Amino acid sequence: MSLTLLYNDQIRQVASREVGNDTWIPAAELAALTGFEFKPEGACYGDVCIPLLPAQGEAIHTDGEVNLQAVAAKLGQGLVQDDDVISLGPIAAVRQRFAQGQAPDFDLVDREGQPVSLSLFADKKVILMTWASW
Amino acid sequence: MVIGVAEDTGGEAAAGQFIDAANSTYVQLIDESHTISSLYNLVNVPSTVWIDEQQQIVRIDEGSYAEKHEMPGISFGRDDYVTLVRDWMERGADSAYVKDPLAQQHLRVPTQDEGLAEANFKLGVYFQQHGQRAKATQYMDEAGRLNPASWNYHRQNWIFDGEDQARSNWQQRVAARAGNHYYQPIAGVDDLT
Repeated sequence: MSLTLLYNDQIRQVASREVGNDTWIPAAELAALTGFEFKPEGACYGDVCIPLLPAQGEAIHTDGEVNLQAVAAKLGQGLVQDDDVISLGPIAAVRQRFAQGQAPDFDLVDREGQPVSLSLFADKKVILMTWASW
Repeated sequence: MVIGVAEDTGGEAAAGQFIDAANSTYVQLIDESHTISSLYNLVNVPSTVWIDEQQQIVRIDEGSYAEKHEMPGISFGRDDYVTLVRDWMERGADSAYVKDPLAQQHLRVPTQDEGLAEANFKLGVYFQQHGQRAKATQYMDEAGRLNPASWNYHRQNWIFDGEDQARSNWQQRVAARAGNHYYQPIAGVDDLT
């Protein structure tokens, strides 16, 4: 079936395969969504790798596919599913840099459709200011 | 550089008129899924993050108004916020208004409940934007239950039930906050209330 995945501000359609209560998707799709790479040593974000050691009888990562629920559990990632839409919460290993004081980068677009990232302003002081109409 | 970010699931239709009216020269973004608030652990607006040339966070303020606001039962903001920002622009790390950012309670990874709240909120945003209000409010309500400190979750949810309802809900929740700050002061820095 086709699944809609939500993570940060991204929306991604992926092909999926249901096995029991688990959802298997191509590892490359999840990598593209979260920035994690799936290697023999585990799920890696930069030089940080989180082992994906399966419990007895469990399968997490095989033949280029990953078990979405199992990976989310290993990464400590909240997961909420409504039929064919799955929303993935933050990954602690990614937010760790924020906890150490590094400003998280982002990829948004301005009203003219131009991409804007914090890293564009790396040599400047930045005042990042939220507001809302509500 | 100033980057203004509208935390508005309603997108251009909700935020655009205010950006037009501001006629600003700085960068203005509309962040429909509240991703900036998620990444920076912000629970209310307006909030401001000071980021230095090395992209290190040197201060985070909730309630960063340019002047003090007095309302029945609640007051917030300060008259000298622009002065604080200017001082940092001129003095950098020597500014008296830059403090050890790790002392600020904002700089931490989300708890399990906060992470699950974020996933629920984003599912709510998805359904809101696909015209499914009942599902949107179901997931936004759950986000607000899991992370009750997030005024962003509550207020973004309420506005889709109309401005009058949203105002009434807000007034009730403000009245019920019982000694809790509406905007968190910065630990060890000063008393923004």
